Amino acid sequence: MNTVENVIVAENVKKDYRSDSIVVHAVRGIDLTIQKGEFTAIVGPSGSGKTTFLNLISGLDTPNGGTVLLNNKKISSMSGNELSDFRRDNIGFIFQAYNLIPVLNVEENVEYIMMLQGKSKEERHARVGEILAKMGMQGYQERFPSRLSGGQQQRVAIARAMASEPALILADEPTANLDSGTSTALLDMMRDLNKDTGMTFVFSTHDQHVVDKARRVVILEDGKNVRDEVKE
Amino acid sequence: MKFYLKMAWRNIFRNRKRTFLTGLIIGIGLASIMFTDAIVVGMKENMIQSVTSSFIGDAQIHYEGFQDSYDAKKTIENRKQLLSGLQQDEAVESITERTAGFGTISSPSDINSILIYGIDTIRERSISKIDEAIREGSYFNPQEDGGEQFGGVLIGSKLAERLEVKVGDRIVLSATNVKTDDLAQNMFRVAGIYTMQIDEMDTSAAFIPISQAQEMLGLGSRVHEIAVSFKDVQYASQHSDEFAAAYSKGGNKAETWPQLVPQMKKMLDLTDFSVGITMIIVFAVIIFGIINTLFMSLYERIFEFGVLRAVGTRAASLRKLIVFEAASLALYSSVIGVLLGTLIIYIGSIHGMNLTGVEFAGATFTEEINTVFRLRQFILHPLLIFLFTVLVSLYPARYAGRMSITHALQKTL
Repeated sequence: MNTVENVIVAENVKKDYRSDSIVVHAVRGIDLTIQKGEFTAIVGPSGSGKTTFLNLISGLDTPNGGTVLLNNKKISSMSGNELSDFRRDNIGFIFQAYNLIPVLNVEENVEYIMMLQGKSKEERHARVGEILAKMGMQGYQERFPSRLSGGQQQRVAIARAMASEPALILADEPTANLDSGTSTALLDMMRDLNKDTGMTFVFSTHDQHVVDKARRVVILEDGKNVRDEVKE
Repeated sequence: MKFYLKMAWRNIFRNRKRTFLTGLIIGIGLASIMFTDAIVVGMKENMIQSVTSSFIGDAQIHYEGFQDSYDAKKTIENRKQLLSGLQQDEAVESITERTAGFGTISSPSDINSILIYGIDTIRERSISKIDEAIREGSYFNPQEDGGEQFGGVLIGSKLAERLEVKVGDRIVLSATNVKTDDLAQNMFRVAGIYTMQIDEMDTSAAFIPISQAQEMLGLGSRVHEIAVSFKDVQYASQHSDEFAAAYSKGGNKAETWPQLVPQMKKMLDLTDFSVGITMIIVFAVIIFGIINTLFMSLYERIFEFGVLRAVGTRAASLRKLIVFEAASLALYSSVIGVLLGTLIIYIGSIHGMNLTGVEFAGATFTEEINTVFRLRQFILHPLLIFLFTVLVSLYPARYAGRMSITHALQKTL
């Protein structure tokens, strides 16, 4: 019998922001379970709460209500350092473009998280070579981000996110600053990686290219999930 | 650690022009601190030299209480033992013996109360600058009469003016003979007229060979004062207690120039205080410059810090990165500062400030003031800049460590 492994379990998650006397209800009680190996797009218009929800499920922000379990661990009760270490070991992040560290070359950017994990230089070097080859970026190890195109930078960002083999990869509008050709190529690559490695991908987007490639689409409106579609 | 050091070093050169300008500002500040130190050392040495080398010497030994009254009966005890000890002392460069007593000097025109010094005409030259201060006539000629020009007296230019005498004129010195308690009077010819630019010496002192003074005062071989000069100009101020302990015995009192000329010591302390305040101000300016640069660099990279924190960098590691960046900036600036500082101190050591004849704090500058190299200028001051920079970087580092990750990730330039 196959057991289903839940990577994310969000129950009635809420987040309010206060500015002077105005209260903004960014997330109004989202329930969502994401299982291992899913390739899920969180979709919605601007202000629907996509980024806030990603921040909450990744432990970058703390919910005002509800609970988030990531790999069966309640992240809202973790201390600052525990959360940092948890993110380092369990979540790979891909942000919009320009999220590489400019003073580190491609190899250093990719190995950074493994270095935080205390992996040996040999282990890091081997893994960087392997992952850059997968991303079609071999031979670029010594290049600095300023000498890479937007698409190449995002491929390095994916390599960085995957380098430590996390349970979950979260991407916030990963194609926002890319042209449609590059976006499609990048998404195909992410999808292939998802299929090959079984890693769970969750990304927020309002880009139809991304939505089309997703196997599951969760639609948010006004801080609530209003629809959940699983494609065949 | 090594990884963050590498990142920090690369980060400070991301904006080369800004880093160079900041480094230059800090470097100029450091160079000015180094130069101020060097010129103050030069000025202090010049002032000490002016006071000690004109007549006082670096240290003196008297019988306890002699200086309060100039009582001619208070002569130094165990003179031979003292001289032998001083001659064997490795810190001592030269010594000379003197007698000193109140008396009068009279010419056909005037009479004045003065201090009559009996000096060892040969040894005195290695301690004081009386010989160099002669403006008319000559110093006691060591070639004549076994080093002592009997019947000759050296007087100050202002005293000569008052007495209306010139070289070769006769004057009469009178003093009390301690053996007989009678007034002893001797006639002398003015051999030389000096200008020491110390008012006291130029108006109220006369020098005669020590043997004549001892005979006139009935002292036999006894003396009132032993003046000492040290090999190291700093020795007197740094080893004052040591010197006093070694030679203040049998009723004698050994003192170095800070005790002999306390007003000079106070003036030098005041100079140190003013320089200290100036340095604190310069340090403060430098430090605010550093904080400004660090915050500017921090605000530009908030998104980057957000990414670093999101991917699992602990707040402490981010703080470490900022502190390393500050340390790298301090190191870079210190190299610029030390190079600039060395150059201007070197120039100052060759082309000094000519304040010859200017009186300051009771001392008259007798030589050009040059900058003086000291090891601390190259170690202590850059180290202080480095430590202060690292210390002040804790503030922006704390700020970076506490910033909200989600807030930081919203910031893009």
